[in-house]
Amino acid sequence: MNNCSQYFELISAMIDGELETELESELRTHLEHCDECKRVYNAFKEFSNALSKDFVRPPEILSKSIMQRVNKQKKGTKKPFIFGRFTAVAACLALILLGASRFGFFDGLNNNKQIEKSSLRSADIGEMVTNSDHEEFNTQNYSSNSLQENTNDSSEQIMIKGDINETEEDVVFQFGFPTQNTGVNGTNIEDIQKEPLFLFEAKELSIYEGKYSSNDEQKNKLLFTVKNEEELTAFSELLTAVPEGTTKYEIDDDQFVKSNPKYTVYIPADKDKNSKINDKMISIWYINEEIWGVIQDVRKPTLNVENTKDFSIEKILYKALGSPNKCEDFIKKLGK
Amino acid sequence: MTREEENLIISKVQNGDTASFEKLVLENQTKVYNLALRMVGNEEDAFDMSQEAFIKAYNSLGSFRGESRFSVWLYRLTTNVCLDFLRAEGRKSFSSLTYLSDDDEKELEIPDERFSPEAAIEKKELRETVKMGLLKLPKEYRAILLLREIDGLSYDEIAKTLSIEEGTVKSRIFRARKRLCAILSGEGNILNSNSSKDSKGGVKHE
Repeated sequence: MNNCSQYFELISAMIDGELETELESELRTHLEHCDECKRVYNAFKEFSNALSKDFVRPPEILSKSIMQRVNKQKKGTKKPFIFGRFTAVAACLALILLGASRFGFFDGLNNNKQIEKSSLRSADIGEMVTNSDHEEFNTQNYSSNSLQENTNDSSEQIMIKGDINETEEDVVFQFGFPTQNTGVNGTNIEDIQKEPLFLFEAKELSIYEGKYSSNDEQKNKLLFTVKNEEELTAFSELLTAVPEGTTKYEIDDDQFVKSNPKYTVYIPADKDKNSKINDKMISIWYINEEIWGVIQDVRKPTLNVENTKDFSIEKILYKALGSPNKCEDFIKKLGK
Repeated sequence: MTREEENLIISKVQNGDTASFEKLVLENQTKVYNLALRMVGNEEDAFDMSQEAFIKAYNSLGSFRGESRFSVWLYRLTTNVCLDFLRAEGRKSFSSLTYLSDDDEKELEIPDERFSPEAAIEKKELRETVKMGLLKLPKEYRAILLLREIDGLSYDEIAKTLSIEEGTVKSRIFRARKRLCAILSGEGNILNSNSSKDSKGGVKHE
């Protein structure tokens, strides 16, 4: 064909109004009698229209939820806290571990993405939970089937009323779970999706090497207990979940959870504040220069055999902000 | 909203009047949302991206100097937020077409008649086709095309934004369009493929 290819890039520039005047008039003349170039011109023009026209209105709640978050941010910026973003993925994980039907929390959500993912992963995750729990809670048969069975004991666990309020005391760490009410009674669904999943308070924490067993205290290797506010703050920043938008759990990564964690961080609950709150435990792994954590309640086996038979622990897998290097530096500093 | 009105609101927010930020949100949310939608391809993610862009803008408002208009600055932020998101998503993809691939050296595939103004095809339908084709563009091409088409930036402004030469901007935009032509004609009828399913972030062509 003819060498109109020289014109094509000019046409592109002309559409954007970036062609010099003389060239433009020359090109326009050419377009009048060149079919090929005319078609290119028309197509480029249509591309432009398709992209810049026919805008849709954003959902009404967009501005509301933005302002809500902006206002919330304004309030709590000074307190250091570890939070997990309620991503669709993390929510899924929690969902599976507890059994969807029980977690009334999710009744209102009809996010297709979540449902899709949960069906993909239940096999893997169920196994993960079974294997890693086996040693710790060997007083009962823990199986993935038990996820379906509902006992009062386990549902109470969901109702952990960790208040997400900021206190003025020398609390340096805030961890908690949203109350069960959230989402069931009219709270904005979108809010739930963007609220921290876990958030709770602690005045000290203990770092153990490797795994931690609440059954057999002898086995645990305590490295340090951190009580100092500065150190608590520093460590909490390491363990804080990656903020919204970037917390992603990739299915291939869950293999590591079957191995022993690098450290386990034990956070005793502040019983004076709220006697129902359980101690918390975060197992951390170093994976590819990232810190990944699994946070869960510590449920000490009770004397009541009935209750200990079937219960599940809500575990949340998340990626932490800190890097393994920083964490190691911190641990070294503690050792001095 | 004029530039002066914009700057007035910004200084209010900078001085602690958070509520006024809402005016900026309402003013810009349509463009931001649609920009995000064309970048990531689905409404849920577009919603998340829009939120994140505005929150980031709010947080960085302290350092906004007003060299460009807030809205333009915001759209660039939105584009970057979307690109970051797509990059993270892209790690899971199975294709690894690099940005500047051999495809760019091919001849432009002359588009067919349906793009002509006189064509019988429904304009709306045609635009949907184009939008779906857009999602198959590598994300960097998509971004630069959108900077031009939605943000309305000149080549010079884009060059400054991306820290590249103006000539590079010109040729990249052309290549983006050229690639779009190939997608829309070469790969057969978009309307028949199930591209709506893999429209999320155009992952397949990353």
